[in-house]
Amino acid sequence: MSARDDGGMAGARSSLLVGLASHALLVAVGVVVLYPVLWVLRMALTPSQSFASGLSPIPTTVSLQNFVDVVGHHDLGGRWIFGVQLYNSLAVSAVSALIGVALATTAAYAFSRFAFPGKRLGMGALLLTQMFPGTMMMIPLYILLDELHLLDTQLGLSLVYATTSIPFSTWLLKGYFDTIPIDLEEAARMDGASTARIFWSIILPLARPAVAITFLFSFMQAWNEFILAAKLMNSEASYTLPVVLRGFVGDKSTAWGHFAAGATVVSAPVMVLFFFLQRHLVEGLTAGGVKG
Amino acid sequence: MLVGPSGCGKSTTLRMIAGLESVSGGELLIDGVRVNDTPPGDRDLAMVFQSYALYPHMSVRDNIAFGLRVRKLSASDIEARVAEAAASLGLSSLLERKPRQLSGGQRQRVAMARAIVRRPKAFLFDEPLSNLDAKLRLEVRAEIASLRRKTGTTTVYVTHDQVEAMTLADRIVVLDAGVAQQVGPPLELYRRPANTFVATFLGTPTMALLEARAAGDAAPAGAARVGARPHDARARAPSTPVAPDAVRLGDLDIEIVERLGQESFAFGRLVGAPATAERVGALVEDDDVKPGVRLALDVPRAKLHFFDAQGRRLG
Repeated sequence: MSARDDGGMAGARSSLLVGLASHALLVAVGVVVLYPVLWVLRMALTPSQSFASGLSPIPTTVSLQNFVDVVGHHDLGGRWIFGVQLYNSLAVSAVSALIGVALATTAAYAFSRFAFPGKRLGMGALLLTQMFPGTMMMIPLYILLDELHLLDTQLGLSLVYATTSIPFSTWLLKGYFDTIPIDLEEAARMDGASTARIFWSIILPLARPAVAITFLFSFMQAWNEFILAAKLMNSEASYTLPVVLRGFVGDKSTAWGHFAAGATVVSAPVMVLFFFLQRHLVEGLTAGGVKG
Repeated sequence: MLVGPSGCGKSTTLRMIAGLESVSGGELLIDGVRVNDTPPGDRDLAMVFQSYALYPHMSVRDNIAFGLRVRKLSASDIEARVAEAAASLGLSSLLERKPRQLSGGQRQRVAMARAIVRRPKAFLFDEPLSNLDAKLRLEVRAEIASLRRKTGTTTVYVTHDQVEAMTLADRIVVLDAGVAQQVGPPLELYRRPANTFVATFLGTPTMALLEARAAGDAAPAGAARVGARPHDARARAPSTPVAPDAVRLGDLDIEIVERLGQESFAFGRLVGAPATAERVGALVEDDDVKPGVRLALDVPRAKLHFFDAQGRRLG
């Protein structure tokens, strides 16, 4: 009897130790991951433009002046230029993600379900485009946009971003569509549904997690992209936020406080988006429709 | 009722009728109209899938209503028909649930409701019971039988389970390797199998096939094999005289005795048969029979099945 009690106590003690150890490890990993972020926050909150030195991520004096300077920036004409640039970034990212998702879902569905000549070749070609860095296409893209009179426009940049994200998105979505049982589509066909109806009413709702992650991926890629935006957009009023951030880094001096505050502000929308889409990302919607 | 072993082409046949698989040769007629190139949605057939194939993101109500919405029925019509179909299958209280919240038997009934709500020309069932446990299988089987009685709609049913075939079918098509072996009412196929394939496929325990000479002068000319269903055969002590209307096929060295409660079967190999020969089964009247004894195998003359060298039925 007492031996069993001892065993129980020892078991409880060892599981407590395991719990403590795993939490300690998680805290350590959390610190490693969050440290650079905290460090940027410290620079943003410190009312100085010099590069932060020292290891502590906790600011000695706290001020929101850097944020006020960055967010409240007006151009010489008195226009609230930060607002314009924020709108540019949001518009370009949202439009490119929407175009990208619309084209990638339809393309991926065709690749997943239909047999047609050049199917393997098409998927291979999409993969091939991923092997070249986007900057390699800079000159041809510049010439193309110039011909289309889309240089320095949000639509032009959105199209460029959409085309660069479509190949990866198509692969991702095709992989997901492949896991949706074909029985469901056959049942819908027996019910008299057209291919478009099946795609819209059956496949897309079931692929919501994949569509959400594809949208997020496209949005973030556009949101963070700098090199193409810097080359294709020429006026301050058409800049996206990464280009604006680069503006804080000068040849002779860098406004680190402004840069850090800007970086913090720029990363906020993506965090918000992630927060709202996470439910869709983890949802396993296909559970229960077919056996199992 | 299409029945046959795995890979015999029964599901493919059903899918061709449904229009989910293209017809590689010949004509497919529904009500006398050629439908080879008619898309599945225009054939006015409803199918119940082995996997149920319920739309996981829709409620039971929406699952049942989907086909009606696609066909653009009025909302009040849809409501009435869904309510009627759900009531007839005992689903009325489950209409707002999602498929994942249902048990296997309930999912199967939703799949059936989705089929009947359309009032199609014919139902197609693709092994609808194979994902259910034994008890549920009985229940749903009864449900399908009563559904057929109520609606009177033509039903094409695919199964590899011969009990389902025997109990549910008006007519059975036994398929092997893509070829129909025999078509007819269940009892006819059971009593007069057209060839050795049908003979051994239907009936449990399986009919044993022996060399025709075991039947002596009871075998007609040209007979190569003689078959006897274990239910027709009797294994009794060798000293028992042979009944006047029976044939003694030989002596069995009993290896296995199966007591099923109501009846008991003994299985063994004929004396003199090679060790690779299949076991022959027969009813035993004596409950004390143990493996190792030797019993005589008697079968009424009228219950013997004779087949020629190609396996075709004689007589």
